[in-house]
Amino acid sequence: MTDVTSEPQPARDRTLLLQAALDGELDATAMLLFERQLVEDPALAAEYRRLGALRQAIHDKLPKLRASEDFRNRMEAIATPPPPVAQLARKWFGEWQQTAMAASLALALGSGLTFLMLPRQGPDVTQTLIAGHVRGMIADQPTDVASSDRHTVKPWFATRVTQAPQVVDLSAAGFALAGGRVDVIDDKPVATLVFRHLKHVISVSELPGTPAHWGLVEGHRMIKGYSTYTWTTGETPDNKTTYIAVSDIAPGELDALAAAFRKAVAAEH
Amino acid sequence: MTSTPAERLFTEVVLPHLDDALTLARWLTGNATDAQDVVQEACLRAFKAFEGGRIENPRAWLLTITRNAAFTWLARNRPKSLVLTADPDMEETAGSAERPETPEEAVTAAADADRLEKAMAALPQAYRETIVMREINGLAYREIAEVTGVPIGTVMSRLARARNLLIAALAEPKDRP
Repeated sequence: MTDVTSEPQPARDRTLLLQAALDGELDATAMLLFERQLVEDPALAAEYRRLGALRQAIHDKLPKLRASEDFRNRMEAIATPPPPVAQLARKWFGEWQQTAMAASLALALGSGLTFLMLPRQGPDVTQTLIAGHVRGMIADQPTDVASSDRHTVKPWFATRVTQAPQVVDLSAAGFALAGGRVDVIDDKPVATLVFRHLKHVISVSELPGTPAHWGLVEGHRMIKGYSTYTWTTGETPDNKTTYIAVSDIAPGELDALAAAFRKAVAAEH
Repeated sequence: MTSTPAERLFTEVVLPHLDDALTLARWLTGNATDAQDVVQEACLRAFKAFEGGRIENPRAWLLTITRNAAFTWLARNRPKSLVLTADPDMEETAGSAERPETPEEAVTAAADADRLEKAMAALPQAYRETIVMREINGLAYREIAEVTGVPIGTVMSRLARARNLLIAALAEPKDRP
């Protein structure tokens, strides 16, 4: 407290009292006294109003910075231990790095870019969603909300996932809505719609962003006897949504579902 | 889904306060791009420091690390800025006398964002970080004292000074450089 000692003691006390009152750091008794002082001392009241105006101006005009989703993901990746695949990639990157070190360094210096885009790290998304599907099949109900009415299913999701999924009516194509379920990827809730087709159950999960972001590739993939199909909607990378269907039916059936789904989404926009 | 203690701690302790860290770093380095560099460095440091166990005040903890990372960054990239503001508490000793006239509150209230930003950027670093943590991050005196490592009385007098300087800067005629 070296900086205000040159002021006369009362002036200094007054200055500090104003700050504490403004910042809500006075207890109730002190604040009561201060308010009484404000009434009796117009100069003090004017000073207090000026400080209040400054505070308002800062609040209105100098907002807090918001971390972009991309930046947040990169920071999150710091704490995620690399899975085997990523370790391989790193090894490959290490070898590649030796030959391309000079070039990349020049690029990084030139652009001021000090980050590398990190792909999402963690267990395979498809396998996680298959696990969710299997869990749903083992349980009495493959759904957390059982309804064939999309106007029931969509609001149910609204309170459970950050963005309520596209809920479409595919009954005309032979896929009846059975309900919805929340699956979990990287500790984050993901909306999964459940459809019935003949005697089969199909889970369709909606993931924001591009397939690459989730380490997925569009198209078919068979894993442990389950067929999966990945497709996207949206034109630009910003508004792309990735869908992944999991079921035990023939891959061709998932094509039909995806086609009907795309058509229904397009019809809604 | 399994996650290691470090991951959980990181998700619960660091990520919720990224906005605050970026904001402080932005006002210490002067722009949002450099702020990202600083916060990334702070996150790496935070991750390494996690072994220690429980963290009482996650936000203050992350801001302390961010502030240190910012000073390292400034020493490397803008060594002059650190010298200039080495000890602001000693530089100015005049009290309210530093403000020649008493501007109307309306003048302060009407200041445009650009002007306010410039006035904020022109504050000595110790005043700037204190008022940013108070007004933009919304920290209590106790927390600011913890992050900056000074007594609460110093936090209060720095705030008083920062506010007076800002009000004075906003009251100056507009055509001044």
